[in-house]
Amino acid sequence: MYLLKLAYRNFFRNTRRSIISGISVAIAITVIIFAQSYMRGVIENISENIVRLISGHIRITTKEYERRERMIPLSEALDLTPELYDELNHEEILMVSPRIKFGVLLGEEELNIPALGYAIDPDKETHISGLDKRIVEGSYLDASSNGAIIGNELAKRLDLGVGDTLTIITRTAYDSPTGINLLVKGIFSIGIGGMDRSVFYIPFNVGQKLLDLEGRATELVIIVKDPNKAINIAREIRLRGDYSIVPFQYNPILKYINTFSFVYSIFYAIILIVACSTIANTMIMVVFERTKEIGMMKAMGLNNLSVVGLLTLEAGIIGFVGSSLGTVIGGILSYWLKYQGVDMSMMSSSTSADMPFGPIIYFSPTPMIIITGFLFGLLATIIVAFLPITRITKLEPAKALKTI
Amino acid sequence: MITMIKKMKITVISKFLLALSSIISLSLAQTAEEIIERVDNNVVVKTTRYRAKMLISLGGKIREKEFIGYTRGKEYSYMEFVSPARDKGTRFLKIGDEMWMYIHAVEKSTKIAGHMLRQSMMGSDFSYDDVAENEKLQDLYEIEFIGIDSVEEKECYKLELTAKVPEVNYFFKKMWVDKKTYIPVKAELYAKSGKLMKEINITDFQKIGKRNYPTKIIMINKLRKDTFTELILEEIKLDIEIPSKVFTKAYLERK
Amino acid sequence: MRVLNLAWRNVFRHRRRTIITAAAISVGLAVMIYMDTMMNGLDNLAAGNIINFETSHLEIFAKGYYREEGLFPLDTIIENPEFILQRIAKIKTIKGVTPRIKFQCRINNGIDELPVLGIGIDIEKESKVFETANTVVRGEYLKNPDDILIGKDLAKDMDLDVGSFLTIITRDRYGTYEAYDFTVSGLINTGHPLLDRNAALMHINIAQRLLSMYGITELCIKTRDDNKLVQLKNEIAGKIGKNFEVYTYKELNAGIFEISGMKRSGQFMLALVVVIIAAVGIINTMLMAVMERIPEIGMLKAMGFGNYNIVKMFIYEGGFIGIFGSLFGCFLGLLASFHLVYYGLDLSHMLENIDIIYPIKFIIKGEINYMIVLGVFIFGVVVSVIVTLWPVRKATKLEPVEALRHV
Repeated sequence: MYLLKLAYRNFFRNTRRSIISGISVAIAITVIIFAQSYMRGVIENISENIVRLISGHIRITTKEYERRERMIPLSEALDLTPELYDELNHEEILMVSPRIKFGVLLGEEELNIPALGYAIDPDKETHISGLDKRIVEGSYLDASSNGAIIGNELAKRLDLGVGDTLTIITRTAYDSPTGINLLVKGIFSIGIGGMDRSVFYIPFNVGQKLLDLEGRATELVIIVKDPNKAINIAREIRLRGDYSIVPFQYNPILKYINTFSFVYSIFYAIILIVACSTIANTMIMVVFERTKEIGMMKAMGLNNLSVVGLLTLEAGIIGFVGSSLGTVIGGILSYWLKYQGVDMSMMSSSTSADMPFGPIIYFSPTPMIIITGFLFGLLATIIVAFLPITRITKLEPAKALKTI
Repeated sequence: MITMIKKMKITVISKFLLALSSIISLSLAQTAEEIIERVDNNVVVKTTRYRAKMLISLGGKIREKEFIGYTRGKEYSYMEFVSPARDKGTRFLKIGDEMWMYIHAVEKSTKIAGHMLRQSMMGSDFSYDDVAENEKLQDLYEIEFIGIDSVEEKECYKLELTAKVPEVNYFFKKMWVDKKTYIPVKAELYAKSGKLMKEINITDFQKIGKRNYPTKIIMINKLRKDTFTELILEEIKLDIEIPSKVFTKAYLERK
Repeated sequence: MRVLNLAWRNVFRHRRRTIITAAAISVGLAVMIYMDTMMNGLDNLAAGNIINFETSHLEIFAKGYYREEGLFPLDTIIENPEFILQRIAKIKTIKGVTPRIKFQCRINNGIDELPVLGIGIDIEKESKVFETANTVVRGEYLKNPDDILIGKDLAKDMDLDVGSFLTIITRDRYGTYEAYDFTVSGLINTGHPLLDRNAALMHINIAQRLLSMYGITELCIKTRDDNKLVQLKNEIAGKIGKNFEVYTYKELNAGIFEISGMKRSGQFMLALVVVIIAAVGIINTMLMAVMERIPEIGMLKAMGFGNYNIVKMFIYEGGFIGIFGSLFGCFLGLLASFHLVYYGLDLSHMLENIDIIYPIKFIIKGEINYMIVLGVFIFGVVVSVIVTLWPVRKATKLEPVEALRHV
């Protein structure tokens, strides 16, 4: 206790120096907390977009469809049998919604604008994608009419507005030419460039008829009660036939991002090490500076352990101050951006439909992030300072006293 | 002395035979072109109207479609699908080597151009440009008469066609033309490498007036199991009056 | 000269102080270099697949080819690649150039047909640009003229294996159908879905024969200097003229590189932070080192040293320490970086538990950017000097007595 008091007072012997040393740690911790909150926010954002717009919590397709997914093979659609729906009657499953995804070329004169169409169940989809809330002009789809909703950028490219006609000419699942004129009922803006630029939605039964896929769908999108259980539920589903059942956590994009965020942890470690080395450096200088003092203390009977303890505590206090400062700043920034959100739609305007990023990223700091940030800052300082301190304080008192 | 005369006779006879054979082969060489001409005379009519059934088998999956067709010469052709229900109202118009498609639900015609021409027509083994091929065989191919061959117990003239311009669909073709009816009962279509890609058999014909008109055509994909397209023509009317407006875009897009 | 001498000896006189101060500089700089190397490695990983298999660093097409993206037209082709090769032969930053022909075709095993991308490659030149040869997991690379390489996954889909026969069906540049038999000589596993599932590789001259063309669809270029792609692109474009178009891999794959764009700004921030922290570390230590010598300044002044000389001496000292620290820091940084470059950081086992559809080996192989190393060195020296300058100037304005009493 006495040591602690002493250490505390020693902090103020050269306040400026102590503070400057602490600043490196403060900066490092601020950055680490900020970056982690950002990364988490990004992952949450992408996960949410994937669930809402691409796969739901669990996505079911035939195995063959998944293998050839790049080519959007309509012929590999699955059959919507009552047995299939029965097999999906799991207590954790809230909703099963069928979709047909199809690629078309659109255009007034020439068919040269590639677009992605989704035939969806308009009612069910309101619970999945919340598309009805993204309508910026006109109105949402309804199952009974031959309407379509298109992305705002796509609308611009096709020069179409609400009330105009969208002409789709494509091939059915059996390669027959097919087409339809649809009324543009509404225009949406999701905020994800790729989707606003090339996606449109039509009612499910209209899509089935158009593509000769009556009674079928290219994928089933499933919403469960507890997203965290999605992986287990996916494993529990038993379907007769060759199906691919993929929980959203296994979505390739998500896995890619997760891997990268892991790599960033390495960077955090490095930053922390650099920051701590400055404190260690300071302590070393301090020790040499106070060699006489240390010699005197030892002569007065203070043993090595106490000296080391004192110096370590001093380092600890600097670390504590730095870490606290960093934690507070990092925490405040992160929580502020959690409620404020960052509008990334500038960057998002060039994303492809494959990378559902944006439009607003909400930082996602957790108490865990804050606490570990603080603790790591503190611990790292003490550990990094410890070694040199022990080395250096092994001087003999007499020798120490002799130094000037 | 007798030996000398014998030798002279032999020489004269052989020379005569030689002369004779060259005359025959000369006339035979012309015959290749002639044969094609006579085939054309059968098939190329001023106008036709017909109803056709198309059976498409792709890897074993079979689908059936029905359509009505009008043609004028080789230049103009109009097709309208009547069955199954989902294809009803799909129409095609060919003028020269250009093609347009009309889908009933869209109420607008689309020109089939560029890479679209290479897509399969209605899911069959024919691509649009296979159907739209408009030029005379003689202009595209060097035609050689090979000999007499029998196909399904019918005696046929066997012809070999080798592309003489690069812009052909099949580099090499073999044709068997029935001696009696001048119908090309069998054709083999080859890729540049010499690999047999498709076989076309005409297994039925109808005598209409002076012509023998093919009524059942089977196109077999030799590279893929269980893949073929069968065309059966019925209710054929030849040389009838067909108003020119039929071969216009307006007619294609009519309600 | 006297001052310089004095500064030099001072540095060695207070060895401990010098070492500690230099150490602070070294650590900061070493980390900056290592981080940069790792980030380059990370970038390469993401771009890796594309660079190693799909497009390399730059591609040259005939004018108008790229507009038909995804359609692989055979009418806008490079008719005589030799013209281009001649013109760019002298550019030193080019590591390798290889021609390729890409065309749409169908792969037929007698029962099924699948549309794939046919790629005609020149096996010799290819190895200088692409890594394809190293990804053959079964069988061999292309040897005989009728050999073909397909992805392991495609082989599975179509029930094919090494030694199987298959037919490639396509249409040549005039539209004539071609069907040609090949033997599967090897299966490749690149981790790049296009090549593993949707492509078939063959000798370029066979492709030319199939397509009745003498030209090629593209030239792929690999460079030594990944960072100067845009400059290289412009240089090449200038030399080959208006009939051709040159694109960097980033332009060709815009979709994937938004992620990179996002990452880039993140990385930049991170790098900035490391720079700041390193700077703070240097400032911290140097400041302390100088502060404790302020009494010395007082003494020097009392002894008659002019302000100007005192400042000069400290600057020299700061400079020397800066140089030592920076040198050692760069040395350390390079040492750690070489390890990263040659051994890499193997994180593959992190991905084992997750069931990924496309197995990617996850080894970060660093890449050293020597320009950055130089920059870091200069940064270390400059910061050291500036940090020395500021307090010293202040101190020289004090009266000698005040300075002597300074603690």
